[in-house]
Amino acid sequence: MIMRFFKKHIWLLVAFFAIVLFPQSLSLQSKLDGRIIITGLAIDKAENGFLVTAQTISPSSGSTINGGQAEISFFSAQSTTIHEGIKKIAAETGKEAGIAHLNYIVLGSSLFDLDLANILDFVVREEHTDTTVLLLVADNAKEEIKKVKNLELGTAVAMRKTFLTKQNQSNGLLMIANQFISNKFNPSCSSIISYLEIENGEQEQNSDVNSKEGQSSEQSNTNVKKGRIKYMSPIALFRNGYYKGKLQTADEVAGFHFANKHAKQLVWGFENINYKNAEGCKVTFQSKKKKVSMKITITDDKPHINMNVTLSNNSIIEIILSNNDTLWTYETQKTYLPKEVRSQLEEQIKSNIIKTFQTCKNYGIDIFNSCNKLEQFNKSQFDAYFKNHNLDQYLNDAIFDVNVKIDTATT
Amino acid sequence: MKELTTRQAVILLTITQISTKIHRMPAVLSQEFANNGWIYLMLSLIPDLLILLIVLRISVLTKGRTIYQVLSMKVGKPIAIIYSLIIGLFFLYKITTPFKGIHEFFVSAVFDNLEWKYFSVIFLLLISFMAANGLYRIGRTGEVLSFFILIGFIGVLALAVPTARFSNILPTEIISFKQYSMGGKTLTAWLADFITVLYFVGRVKENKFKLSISISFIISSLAIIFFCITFYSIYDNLSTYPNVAISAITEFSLLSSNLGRIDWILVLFVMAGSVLTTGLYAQFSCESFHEATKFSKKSVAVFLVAFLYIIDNYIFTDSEKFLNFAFIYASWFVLFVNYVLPLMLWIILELVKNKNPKYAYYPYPIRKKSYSELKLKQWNSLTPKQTNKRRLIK
Repeated sequence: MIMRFFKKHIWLLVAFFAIVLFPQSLSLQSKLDGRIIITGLAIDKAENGFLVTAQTISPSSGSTINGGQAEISFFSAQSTTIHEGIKKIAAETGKEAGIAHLNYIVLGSSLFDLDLANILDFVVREEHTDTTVLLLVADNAKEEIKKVKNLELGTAVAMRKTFLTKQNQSNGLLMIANQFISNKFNPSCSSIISYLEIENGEQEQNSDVNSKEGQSSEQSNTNVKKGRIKYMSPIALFRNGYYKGKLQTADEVAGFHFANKHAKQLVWGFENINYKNAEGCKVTFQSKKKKVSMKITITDDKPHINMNVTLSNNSIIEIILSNNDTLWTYETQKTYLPKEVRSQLEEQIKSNIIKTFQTCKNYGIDIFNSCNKLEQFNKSQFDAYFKNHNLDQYLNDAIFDVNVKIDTATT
Repeated sequence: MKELTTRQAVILLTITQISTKIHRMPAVLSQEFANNGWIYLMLSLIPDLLILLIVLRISVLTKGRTIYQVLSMKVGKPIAIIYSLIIGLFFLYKITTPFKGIHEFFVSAVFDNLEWKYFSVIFLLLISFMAANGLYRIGRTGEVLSFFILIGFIGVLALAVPTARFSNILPTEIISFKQYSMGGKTLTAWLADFITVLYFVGRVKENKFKLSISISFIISSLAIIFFCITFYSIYDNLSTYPNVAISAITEFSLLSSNLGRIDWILVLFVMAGSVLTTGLYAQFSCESFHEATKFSKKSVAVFLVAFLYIIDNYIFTDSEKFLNFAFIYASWFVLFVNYVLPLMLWIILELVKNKNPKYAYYPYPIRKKSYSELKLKQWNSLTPKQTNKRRLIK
């Protein structure tokens, strides 16, 4: 009966195999060993163009994301445009270069006198590039990206995921290319990118370095990788795509992370916290839920920016006493968060956020994009104010106030 | 000819509404209105709904016959042929929209090195098969695929919505009449899918036709508006860039994943709707040309698909060329079919509703013939009521 069915409907089988096999045979995909996958890019300024360095993975049978036989290599090429550089690298390696898995781009400080939003045009224009590629900056992008080989392979090829986790835990910033370019066209024209700083640890490695003029190739078979991405890297500030300065001190960077609404969790060490019977304690405060809101109004021809930061699901997970003080039994509970401690924590968070705002204001950067909020939610006031003022005047006139509210502790 | 059920009609209308607007339209709309494109869609709902009501009134006036049949009987065959040619041309033009969407999706998003000239043959074979076969078969296919298309569309939105910053669509701005009319001219390739309903007239069982069609039209329109709002919220100032909105909208949802674009499984489900819509429009066009010229459906389908192949691969090699053509040459024709033709038909049908047929339309042949002797086209030209009468007589 089955045979009879197939004899009668042989076209069904033909159609099935045609649909399954036809796309594969026509897509002319390169063979696996003829491809290199670009997972990271470093871009520096070069004479008459750019120096593009690609972090690549050459897939081979049995390759896995967590190790296996995949190898990280670095190739460089000088070119007039960035995409030309990628094509040059592919041509010089004799392989097909795929950029669909591009995970991060490191921009060198040599590019800071250029409009970075414009330089990254290929990311949004080229169809196969992921527009959610992570942006990072470094003093020397080529040298910094090479340090990536000191990291675990999983971290090296999935840098974006690493920074997403860091951001969620309030110690990193995830700025994707799409957002960075889009920010240029907003009223605040301000954007930020995290620095990539990899601290080198000791490692056993077997390096094989080949270099020639205009291009270098380095391969390493590293057994033990001890490189680490720096905790709380500085943050570069941009206006209209141009570099203006950076948040460098721990307080400034912390202030940004406290006010970053994408950072949902907070585990932070605070100093000089006074309990009833113990002064100058060091405490680790944990909050599992953070909510940030902002309201901007124009009153007396001055912008008033009111930021509210609410921290809930809180607990104190560490108290280091000084001066041989002791705590009462109830004070040792991690859910014990008295009002006086809360207000001290609130004050420290508030002062850090204000410090961040002031520093950015001096660079002409509207770090919290308050200007966009004003346009979105109070268009009439926005239009009236910006009829006679510009962004610099807006920032100079701005009265910034932060209200931090730490809820009582919960388990 | 087997009629569509009301459910099939509702499903097909919903699928055509959604699957034609999920590719290029949000980006083109953004070129005209920035992130206020969704307001344009809201505004365009008003005239669309009014015309839809007129089309539904036409369906009452035709009393179960197709518009071609009614025009032949009461106004004259030349007018009926002109009507069929216009509708045939209109849907021939409309095919290009979902087909270019399929083209861009496979060439730009899925494969990085696809020979579309050969790959498109698969779709064209499928389209010619759908065009040459009856509407009922497409309706059945729609019923089967509707579950997957719905799951795909809801899944895509579920992935996209958490990544959207809805404040990005603010501030909203008032669209002037001049802007509105210019937008209408630019977006003729996508809007006014209610003309599908005009074609359904006389081909769908009447039971609850009006209410369910209206509801499905409104719900699918609102779903597309929400899709556009989500798209603009995600892409903000860069909304003009993505060519295939349905695959671009989920790009941000997988930041934490190293699994690649697993969301494309959902996107492929939705793309099945685009293939079905292309086939449906091809069927409309094929049937209309068949009515007007009396060529066999299969030969019309072959010509139609060959035409589509030439159009897609040699004339409109990229969407920009098609959009330029749509804007400069086709927009007035499409606006006429969308908004003027239903009005004209309504007025004509109201005027002739009490008029006797121009020629005697016998419910059964004068010479006594068996069923098998009847030519198929003669049988097809009988209305459902007449065919029932024949059965009773026999």
